[in-house]
Amino acid sequence: MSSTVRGVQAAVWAIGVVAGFVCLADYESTAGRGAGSPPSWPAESQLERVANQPTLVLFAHARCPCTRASIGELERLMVHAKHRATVHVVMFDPGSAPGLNSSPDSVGWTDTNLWGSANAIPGVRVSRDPHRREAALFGAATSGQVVFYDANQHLQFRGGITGSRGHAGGNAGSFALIDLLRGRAPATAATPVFGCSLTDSCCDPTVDDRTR
Amino acid sequence: MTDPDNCIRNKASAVLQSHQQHLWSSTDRMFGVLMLLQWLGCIAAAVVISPLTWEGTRSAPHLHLWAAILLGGALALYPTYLVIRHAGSALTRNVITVAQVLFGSLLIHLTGGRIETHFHVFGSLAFIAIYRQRSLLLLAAAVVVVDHLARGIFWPQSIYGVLSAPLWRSLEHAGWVVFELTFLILATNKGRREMWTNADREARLDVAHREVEQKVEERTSELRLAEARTRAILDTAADGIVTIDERGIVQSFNPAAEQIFGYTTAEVIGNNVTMLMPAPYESEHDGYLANYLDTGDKKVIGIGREVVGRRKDGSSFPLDLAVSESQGGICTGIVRDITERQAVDRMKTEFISTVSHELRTPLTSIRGSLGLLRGGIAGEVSAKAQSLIEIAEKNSDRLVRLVNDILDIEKIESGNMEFRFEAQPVVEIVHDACKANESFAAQHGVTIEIGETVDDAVCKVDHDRIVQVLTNLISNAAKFSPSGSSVRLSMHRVDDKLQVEVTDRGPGIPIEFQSRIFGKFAQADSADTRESEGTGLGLSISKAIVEKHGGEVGFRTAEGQGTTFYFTVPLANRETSARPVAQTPSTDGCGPRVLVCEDDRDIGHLLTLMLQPAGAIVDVAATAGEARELLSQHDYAVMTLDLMLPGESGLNLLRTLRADAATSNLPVVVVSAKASEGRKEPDCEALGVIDWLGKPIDQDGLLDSVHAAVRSAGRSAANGDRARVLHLEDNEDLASIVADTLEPVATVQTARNLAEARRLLSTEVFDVLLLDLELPDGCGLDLMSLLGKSNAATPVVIFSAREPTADITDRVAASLVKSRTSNEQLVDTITSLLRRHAAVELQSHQTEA
Repeated sequence: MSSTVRGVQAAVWAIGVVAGFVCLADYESTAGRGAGSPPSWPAESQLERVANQPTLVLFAHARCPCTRASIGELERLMVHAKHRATVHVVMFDPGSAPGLNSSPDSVGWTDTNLWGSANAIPGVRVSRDPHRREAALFGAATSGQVVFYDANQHLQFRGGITGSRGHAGGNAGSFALIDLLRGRAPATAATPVFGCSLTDSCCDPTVDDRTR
Repeated sequence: MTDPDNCIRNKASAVLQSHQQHLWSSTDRMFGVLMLLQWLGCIAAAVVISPLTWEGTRSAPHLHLWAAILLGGALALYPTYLVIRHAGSALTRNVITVAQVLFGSLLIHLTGGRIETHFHVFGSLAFIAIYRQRSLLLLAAAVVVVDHLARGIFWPQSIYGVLSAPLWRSLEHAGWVVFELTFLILATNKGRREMWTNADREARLDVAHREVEQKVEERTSELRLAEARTRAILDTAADGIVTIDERGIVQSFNPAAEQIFGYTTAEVIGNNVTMLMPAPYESEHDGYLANYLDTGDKKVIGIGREVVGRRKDGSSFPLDLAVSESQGGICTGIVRDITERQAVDRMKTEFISTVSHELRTPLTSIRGSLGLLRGGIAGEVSAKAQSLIEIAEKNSDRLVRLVNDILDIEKIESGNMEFRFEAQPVVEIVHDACKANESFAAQHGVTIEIGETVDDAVCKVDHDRIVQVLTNLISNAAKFSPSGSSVRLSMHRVDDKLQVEVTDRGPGIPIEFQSRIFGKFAQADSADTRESEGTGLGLSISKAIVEKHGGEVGFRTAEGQGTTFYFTVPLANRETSARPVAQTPSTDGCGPRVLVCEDDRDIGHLLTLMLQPAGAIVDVAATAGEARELLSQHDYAVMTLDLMLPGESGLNLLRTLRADAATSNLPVVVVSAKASEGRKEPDCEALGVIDWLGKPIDQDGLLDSVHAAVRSAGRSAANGDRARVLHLEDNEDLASIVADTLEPVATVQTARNLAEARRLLSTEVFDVLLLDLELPDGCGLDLMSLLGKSNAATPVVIFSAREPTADITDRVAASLVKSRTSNEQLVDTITSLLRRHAAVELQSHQTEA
């Protein structure tokens, strides 16, 4: 085989590989639908909150592999949130009975490693969200969506806490929450969310595409 | 010529290249396996970590799964393909490098950016470093940098989590990569140096190995050539060549040996060499080999000798055998059938014997007759006849010399010339030679003078042969010297040798002749223009004789001024004292001359007084030196000897006198207070003392003893008691000449054959037997075993045309060769023996009394 042919082969291979990585990077960098979260804590929410204490809520799809990175970031945030904020992880549970439930459902939809990981974080309250009721109240459409309400129940931050899909590591969302938990003004109040969709339909009316 | 260092450098480069290629190929194969494993790992990671992506309750395969399968496959399969098809090529390892780095990137994606996964990048760099190629490490670093840059530019949050990453993050990432790269490149460089060192060492070894191989090939080629030459020599050699091992088993047998022994090579190889030897030599050979193996004693090796061989047909034949030993106990024997040579030698010996006899005997007769004629045996002859006699005598001498020289040359060449070496003063030999050649020199109008001498120089020489050499040199010098000049003899020491010189005032030796002067039949003038007589063999013979003595011959010459011939002989350890000159008073008288050797003047005078009444002429010597000097000046009938002389004992003086030809037969009467002790000396009988008289001296006893001595010495004296000589000679003419020659000293009785001699010996008593060796009915020596009691002590003299061997001369009192012996020599010899015989007889009578 001539060197030219081998050169061409190598070039084709290189192009293919680069293309693959571009696709992969593009996929991982494509944010899910953002949340049209209410500016004030919705009164219909059944999530418990403590008076005079900010509340942080992370909506997660219990089987989304990308959310594992978000739970990891939340674990690191808890160093700053402990005793300063009430933290909830609300797991999407399509099959359980209505109403929040703090234990995995019997059919095993939320009986996942992700639930166990979240539940193992001290100070984090994990609960199921049957039929995505709470998610709807807070306008969360993508797993990994975080909302932060201050002690006055005003929305201070909404968005994801990973830099890309399923990618752990420092990111703008985490930095903003750390600032809020320390009582400082965050650099940003909204970040893109990378994760699985919490809804079956791409046209869920609760989803705010502006955050994308 | 190729520079050796450059050659090694090029070789080392080639070796390094080979090692690198091997390293690259093996590393490629390792990566080929690793690629497939990483691919499977990626798929496994995707399946475990992110198999599905969800939308509410609906799921679909996660993109990571497809990426692991497809992108991971692309990263793994193409490099693997290259490894299979093009392991070791630059493209393969470059693609592998890129793929390996990108596998890290893919894994980071698949594991959600786990910090642990980043170690894959560093691990990959370490793996790539196995290639020991800096460019690959730099390529890997470049891919990492490009990946980060591209993602930083297009998807910054995928790396840093923020859309606008700070510069220090990029620098930090690059810093860690550079950190590892630095060490990896250093390690790579070190590895490459080690590879170069190893390659250089291997190249040197290889070069050395090749040189050794080349030398081995050269040696092998030389050995083959030498073997071929040896084989050719063996095959074509005229001599038989047989090699045997240490057990005597034949290893090789050349064609000449086949012809000699009649065996084929196949019949002999592997058998014991004794099959080529007749009994009893075969058992002797077995014994010799056993002794050689036990003691290493080489009786035969290196020595050529005559042995007896056995042919295939069982016949025996004489062989010349030379044996050499080579490594490994192999002995090589070179054999030559000398059957024909021995036959020729026998014929030659017989021929020479015949020539000796048939030429020398008539020549001796002729010369003897002429000598007698010249001496006046036939009365006065006319001047004309005298002149003719001299011419005839001169030419007979010339013919005698020619015959003698030719026979000498033959003996020298055949190695049969015998020498009787004895330590003796050379100066006396010089005097003898001078005396013997005086008449010849006088014939040429030349005198002989003796110059510087070394009187105490003693050399172990054959007296007669050295005289022969000197005679040759003196006669040459005399022939070429102008009339009226002199030939000068001198001698002096040169290191540990004595050099004797003969100098003439002749015309010198032409330059063109000098190089061949010692050759046979060498004559300066051609045969038809020859002025001087001679055979041209004298110098050749002289050279051979001197060389046999361990000396050398040479000459110095200047044209028109003369020539000096010289020869050297090694000095013996024993040296005699210098010759003193002492004159003693003498008393005139009319009787025999008597030398009294006595240190005490009174006793010397007393002895003189005792002897003078008997008419003796008495000389007195007070020391041994004086005695010698007087003996050299006068002929004494008797010497009386005191044993207690100052400086040198009387016995020692007597021994030296007996060793001197001139005084060997001098009658001696010991007159000494220690006569009885002297008589007990082991060699007293050999000293030939007439009588041992003690002191005080009895005049009658002294006179009786002196009288007996005088009688013994001079039976020829006019007292009527003539000695009798039996001459055994078949040649009637020669017998007649000898009788006439000896007539003044003895009565000669001739026997024509052995039978007649036996008869005479059985009835008569003789004082001397003069025997020819070659007689019609046997050898003259056979007579010696038949000597009766009455002739048991009779001295025997060989007088033959054939020169007697050493064992014959040891059995007789003297030996003379016809044609070599002049009438005077014959008379002197017989006279001397008569004196000695008389002394022995006297002793015998006294003992009996």
